[in-house]
Amino acid sequence: MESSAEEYAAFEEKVKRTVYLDNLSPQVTESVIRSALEQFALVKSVSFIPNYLGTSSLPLCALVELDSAKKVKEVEAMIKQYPFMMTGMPRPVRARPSVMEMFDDRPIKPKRKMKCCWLEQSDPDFEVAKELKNLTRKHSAEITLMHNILSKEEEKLSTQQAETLKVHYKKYKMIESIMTDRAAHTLARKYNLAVADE
Amino acid sequence: MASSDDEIDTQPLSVSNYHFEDDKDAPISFSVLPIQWSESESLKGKKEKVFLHGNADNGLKKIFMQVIAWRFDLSNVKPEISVLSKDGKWIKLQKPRKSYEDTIRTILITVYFMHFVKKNPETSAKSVWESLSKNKDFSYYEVKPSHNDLLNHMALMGEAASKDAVLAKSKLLLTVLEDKDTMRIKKLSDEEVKELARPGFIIDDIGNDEIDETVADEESDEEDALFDSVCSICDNGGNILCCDGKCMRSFHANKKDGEDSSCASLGFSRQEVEEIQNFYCKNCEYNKHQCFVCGRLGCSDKFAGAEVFKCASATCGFFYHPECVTKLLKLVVKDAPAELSNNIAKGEPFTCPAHYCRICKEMENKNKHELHFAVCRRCPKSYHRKCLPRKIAFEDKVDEGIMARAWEDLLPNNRILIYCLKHEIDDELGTPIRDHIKFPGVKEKIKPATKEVISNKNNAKLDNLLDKRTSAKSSISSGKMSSEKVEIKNFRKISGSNIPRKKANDATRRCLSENKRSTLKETERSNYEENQTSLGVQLYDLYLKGSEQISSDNHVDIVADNTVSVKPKKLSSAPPQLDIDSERRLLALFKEASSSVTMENVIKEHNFTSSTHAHSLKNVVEKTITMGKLEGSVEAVRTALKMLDKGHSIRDAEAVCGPDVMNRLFKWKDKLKVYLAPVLYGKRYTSFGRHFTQVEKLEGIVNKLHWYVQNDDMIVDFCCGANDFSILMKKKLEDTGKRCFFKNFDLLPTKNDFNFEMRDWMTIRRKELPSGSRLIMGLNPPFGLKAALANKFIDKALEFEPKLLILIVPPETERLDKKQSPYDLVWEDERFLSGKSFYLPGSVGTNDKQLEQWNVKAPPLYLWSRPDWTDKHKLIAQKNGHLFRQHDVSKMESFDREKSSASHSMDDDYVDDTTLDRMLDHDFLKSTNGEDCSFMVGQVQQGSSHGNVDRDSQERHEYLVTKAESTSWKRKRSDENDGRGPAVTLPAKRQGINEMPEGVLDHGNSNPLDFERNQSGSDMILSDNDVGNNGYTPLEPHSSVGDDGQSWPNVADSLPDYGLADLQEHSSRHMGDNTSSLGYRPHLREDDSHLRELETRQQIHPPGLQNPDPTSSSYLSGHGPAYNQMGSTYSVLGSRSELPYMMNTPAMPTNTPAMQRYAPRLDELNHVRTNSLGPEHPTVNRSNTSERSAPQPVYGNVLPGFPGDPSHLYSRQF
Repeated sequence: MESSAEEYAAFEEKVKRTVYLDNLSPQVTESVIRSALEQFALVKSVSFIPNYLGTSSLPLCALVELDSAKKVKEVEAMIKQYPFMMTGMPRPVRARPSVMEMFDDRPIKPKRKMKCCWLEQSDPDFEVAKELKNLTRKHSAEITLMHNILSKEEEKLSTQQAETLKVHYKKYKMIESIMTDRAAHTLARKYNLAVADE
Repeated sequence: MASSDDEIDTQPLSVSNYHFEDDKDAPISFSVLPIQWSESESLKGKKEKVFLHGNADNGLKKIFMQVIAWRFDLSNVKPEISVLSKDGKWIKLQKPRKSYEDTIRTILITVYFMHFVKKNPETSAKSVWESLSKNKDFSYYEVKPSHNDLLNHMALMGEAASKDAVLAKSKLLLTVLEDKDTMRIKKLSDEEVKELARPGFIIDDIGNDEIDETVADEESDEEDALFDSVCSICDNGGNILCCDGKCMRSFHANKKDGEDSSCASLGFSRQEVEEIQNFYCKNCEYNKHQCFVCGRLGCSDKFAGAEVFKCASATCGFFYHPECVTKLLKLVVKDAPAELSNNIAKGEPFTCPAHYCRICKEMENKNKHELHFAVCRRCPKSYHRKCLPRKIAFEDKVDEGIMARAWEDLLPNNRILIYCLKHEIDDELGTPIRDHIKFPGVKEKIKPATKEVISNKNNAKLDNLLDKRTSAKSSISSGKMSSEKVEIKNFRKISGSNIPRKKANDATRRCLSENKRSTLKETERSNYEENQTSLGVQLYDLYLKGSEQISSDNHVDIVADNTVSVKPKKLSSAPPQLDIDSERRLLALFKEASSSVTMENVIKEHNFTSSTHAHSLKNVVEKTITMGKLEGSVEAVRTALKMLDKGHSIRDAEAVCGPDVMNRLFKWKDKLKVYLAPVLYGKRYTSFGRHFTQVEKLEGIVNKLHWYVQNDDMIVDFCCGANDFSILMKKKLEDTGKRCFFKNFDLLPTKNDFNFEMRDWMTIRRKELPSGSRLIMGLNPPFGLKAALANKFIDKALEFEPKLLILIVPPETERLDKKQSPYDLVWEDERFLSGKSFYLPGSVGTNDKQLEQWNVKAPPLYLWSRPDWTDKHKLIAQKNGHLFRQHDVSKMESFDREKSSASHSMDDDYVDDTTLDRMLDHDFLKSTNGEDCSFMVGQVQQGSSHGNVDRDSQERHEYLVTKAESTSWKRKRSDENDGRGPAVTLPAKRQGINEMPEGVLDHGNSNPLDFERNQSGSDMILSDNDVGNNGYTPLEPHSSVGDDGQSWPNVADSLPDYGLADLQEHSSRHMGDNTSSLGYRPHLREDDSHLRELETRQQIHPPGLQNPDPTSSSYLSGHGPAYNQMGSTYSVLGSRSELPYMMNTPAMPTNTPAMQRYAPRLDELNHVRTNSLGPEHPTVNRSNTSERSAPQPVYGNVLPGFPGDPSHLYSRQF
C-alpha cells in the first residue's frame, strides 16, 4: 500500500517531533511518561515499542511525540542532565531523537519499490544473503553479551548504592532514636545548651 | 599636632596601634581618603578631614595628625599601606588598634588580596582565600576573609588593575571584578555562615546545598574538629581515610598520602581508596581491638564475650582490658571502687585514664589554655599543659639530650600530641617506632620504618628533626620488629577462628599455639594463609575481595572476570556462540568505554555550577559522619544521661559526652536529614524537584494581580515552571485592554515557550530588564531548606528594584520589609495557597495520577510594593477590596475544607446584633478553627457586612449589594468603625493615616458623599491642628467628622463602652497633644505591665479597652505597614470585646508569638523615632509617648491624594 507524498511528509514531521526513550523501567506506563515530560512539552502521543528480543516481553522503549522538534532537543537534554525519577526512584533513562525505522507503522516511501523472493542455493547472491544473516545473528549475540555485562554492572552499582543508603539510613535512625526519646534534649538542657526543637 | 618638623628628615615613619577618626571623632576607614597612585600625581577628590592616631617608635611616641591621602605598595613581601600626612610625609601603617580592626577590615583584605594576586597571578580563588585566612593579620577576625570583603572596593581594584600590568593579567582579579553579581549571592550565604559560626547557639545549617564551596570546605574542616584527625600509624595529618567503625581512627590509606611521615599506610592504591564506600579497619571489621595499655588484641564484641572495652567518651576510641585500665585508673581516680575491674568487665561505662591528667588528676578544659590536654599517642597518659613534664618538649634540646615529643595543632580540641617518656623516639622517624598497631588476621604491616624516606611530623616541624641515621638504632628497631612479627603471626593465625577466647592473654605463646592447632583447618582455608608473603599484597587481596561487592564500574578487571565466568551460562540461550576473540574484543571495548567515563568528565558535562545546585552533602555524610563516631556519640549521650541520673556530676558527664559533641550531633542530624530527604520523603521527590502552582490558583492570582498592572509593564516570572502564569496573565490583561511585556525564566525548559528564556535567574543582569518602575516580578521560587533558595531568588529580584513583587514563599522567608531597602506589603494571604495548591511535575502516584502536594503549611501569597509605589498600589488594593478579599478567598478555602456549619451560623449571628452572642461565637469558632484568627476575624467582618450574600463573589460590587440591605450595611459601617476606632485611638497609629483613607475609600465605595466629607474633615483638622505628632491628626476627622450620624448611634448602641472610650481618647489626646497634660500618666502606669510585656505603644486607654488593645496594636506594629487590614480586623476584635475576659480567647496566644518575634525590630525603630522627634517634643511626656509609638514605615504610605500634607509627615517621621 503506497502512501501519498503528503502523508509521507507528515510522517517525516512526526519523526522529527518524536523522542525515543530507552531503558525504561517495566513499570512505566503512558501516564508516567506523560506526567514526567509534560512539564517541558506537550505530549501528543506515547507508543511503546514491543520488546521482541529481550528476555521478558515488557517493552523497554517508547516513542513519545511532542509538540515540536525543539522540544525533542530539550527533553533529550533534560533527561541527560538530570536523573530521571519516577515515583521516587531514579532511573537511567536514555533519550534521543527518533528515526524513521523506529516506527513500525511507518508509511512506505512514495515511489519506492520493494520486492521479496526466495534465493536458490545456486544463486550468486545466496552466499551474500547467508553472510548477512550470520552477521545479524552475531550482532544480536554481541548485544546480548553487552546487555548482560551492563546489567551485571547495574546490579552491582545498585547493591552498592543500597548498601550505602542502608548505612546512612541506619545512622539517621540511630540519631533519630536519641532525638525522639528526648535523651539528647534532656542532656542538652542539663548542659544549658540552646537546642532548637524540631 | 604631635608631629614635629624635625621628624621629616628621618626614615619613613611607621605607626602602630593606629586608628583614624574624622572630625567628629568617629572612627573612619582610611580608604575614604583619596588614593595616590604615584608620587607625582596630584591629589584629587573631596577633602574630608581625617586624623590619624597611633603610636610611633615602638609605642614611645604618640601620634595625632591630619592625613590627606593614602597609598599601598604591593611589591614587598607584605603589602604596605601608607598615609600621607598633611605636611607631606608618608607614614607606614603597621598594626591597627584592636577596636579599629573591623573598620578597616575590608580595605585591608582587598589590599592583601591584590598583593597575593600580584605575587601569584595564576592563582585560584580558593587558594587566595585559604592563604588570606591563614594570614595572621586576619586571624583575629571572627569571619574569615572572603569575597564579600572585596565588594565595596571594586573600583579600587579596577583602578589598581589598570595601573598594574601584573594585576591586570590575573584572571582571578578579572573574574572577581566582573562577577559582582555572583558575589552578591555569595554574600548571602556567607552571612549564613556567620550565623553558623556564632558560638553558643545551635543553629540549623541553613541551606546546606546552596552554600558555596568555600563554606563547604570550612564546614567539613569543622566537622573533623572533634575527632582524631591524624593517621594512627604515623601520627601525622594530611589526606587520611577515616574508619567507619568504633575505633574512630584515621589512616593514611595510600603510601603517597603518608609520604611526608614515611607512613607505612594501609597500602591501598588511589583507585581503591576512591572505591571504598564504608571503610572499616581490620580491627573494627573483626571486632578485635587492641588494649591501649598492653597492646594485645582482644575481642570487643559485646555479644560475643568481650575482652576489651571501649572508653565511654564520645570522642575516644580506645579499648582496654578491664584489668589493665583499672590499674591505671586507680592512679588517677581517687575513689575508684574496688570492684571497678569487674564492673567494667560487666560492661559498665568508664572513662579511660587518657581523660585525666596524670599529674593533678583533673580533667581537661578545652577552653583554658593552661588546662589543655597533652595526650600520648601510644598509651593512655595525659597531662595538662601546665603539668607537662619538662622533658616532654616541643623542640629538640640537643645539649640536654631532649628530643621533641610534643606537637601542637595536630590534634583537635586544642590538644597537644605527645609521646610520653616511656616511648623512645626514633631518630629518623621523629616518632617512636611504629609498631603499635596490630590488625587481626593480617601480618603486621608496619615494617621497620622505611629508611629511605625522610621522616617527620608535619612538614612545619620537619626542620628541627635530626636527619642522622644511626645504623645501630635502626638495627635495634628492626630487631624489635622481627620479634614483634613473630608474635603477630600467631595472632594472625587464630584470627580466623570464631572461638571466643575467654582466657586472659597473658600466657600468649602457649595458649596461642593451642589455639593455632585447633583452628588450623580454618586458617588454612582462609586466604590469608596463601598470602603470607607480603602484607601489602595481602591487604590488597583482602580489599579486592571486599571491593568485589562494592567496586564501581571502573574496576574492570574484576568485572571482566565475573562476566567471563558468567557468560557461558547466559549465552547458551543465545543461538550463535561468540568465539573467544570477539568476546575479548567486546570486553576490551567495554573496558575502554567505561574507563573513558570519569567522575571529572561527568561533573564537567553536567555542569553543576548552577547557583542552586552548588554543593552536595555527599562527602560530609559519607566521610565525616562515620558509623563509629555516630555510634560512639549516641552511646555517649545515653551514658552521660545515665550518669547524671545516677548523681554523677555534670563534669563527669561532660567527660563522656561534652556539649560540643551534642552540638555536633544535632548538626549531623540535620545534615543526614537533608541528605536522605529523597528516601525519607520518598514519592514527593521528583525528577527535578520542582513544585508547580496549580493552574486554578494561578488564575486566582492573575485575577488579583491584573489590577496593579499598567500598560507597558513587564511581568517577570523568575521561576516560571510550566509557564502557565504569564499566559494566563496575558489573556487577562488583553481582556482588560492592557498591553504588557513578559519575561519568563527557569532553569529547565517549560511546557510552552511563551516569552521564555531558559536561564538561571541568578545570572540575569540588571540591564537585561527594563527599569524597576516597569517591572512586576515574582511568583513561586524554589524554597530550599529554611527558605534559603527563596531568599536568594528574592534578593536577586530586589536588585532590579521592581515596583511590585508577587511572591509565593514560605513564611520563614526573610520578609521584604526587613531587607536593606525595605518594601511595603500591600497585602498578604496566608490561606490562598492552602490545601492542594501545588503539584509535583513528573511524579506519579500509585494510581497513575500526578501527585498533588497537600501543604502541611501553606506558603502565604504576598504582594510587596516598592515604597514609592506603595500608596498607589494600596489604593488599587482598596478599590478592589483586596484587603478584604484575602479573607474572602481564605474563607472559601476554609469552607471548602471544613464545611463547618458553625461558621455559617456565626455569620448569621453577626447580623443579629447581640454582642454577647458574637462573643461566644468568637470563642466557639476559635476553638474549632483555632489556628488562624486573622482569618476568623476577617470572616467576622465579611459575615457581618454581607450577611448571607454570596460570599464567593470577589468583586467590589459586593459592597453595593450589601448597601441595599440597610441593616447589614449599617452593621458593616459600625464594624468598620469599630475596626478603625481602636486603631485610631492607639496613638501609635500610623495606621491611623492609612486606615483613614482606607476607611474613606470603603465608605466611598458605598457612599461617595461620605468620602468627600471625610476628606474635607481631615483637611480641616489637619490644618488647624498644629501638633507635633501627626499620627493623631488623621484620626480626628474620622471620629469627629467621618462618623456620620448613621453609624454612630449604632455603635453606641451595641458597644456603649466603646463610644465612651473613643470620646475619652479624644479628650485625652487633645490634652496630650496640646498641653501634655497629666492625664496620660495614670494610664501609663496602668498599662505599664502590658507595655513591658507586649512591647506595645499605646498608653491612653480606658481600662476596659486596655486588654484587647495591646494585642491589636502590637499585632499591627509587629507586622508593619501592610498589615493594616489585618490590624484593623484585630482592632475590631479588640473594640468589640471591651469585656475584659476577651483576653482569654484563643486569639491571644496566636498573637503573642508574632509580637515577640517582631519586638526587637520595633525597639530599634522606636529609637530612631525618639531621636528624630526629640527636638520637636521637648516635654518629657511627649517623648515618652512617641517612644511608645509604633514604628513608622507606614507613614511613607500616605496617599498622595490625601490632603494631610504627606511631605510634612514624611519629614517628620524619617
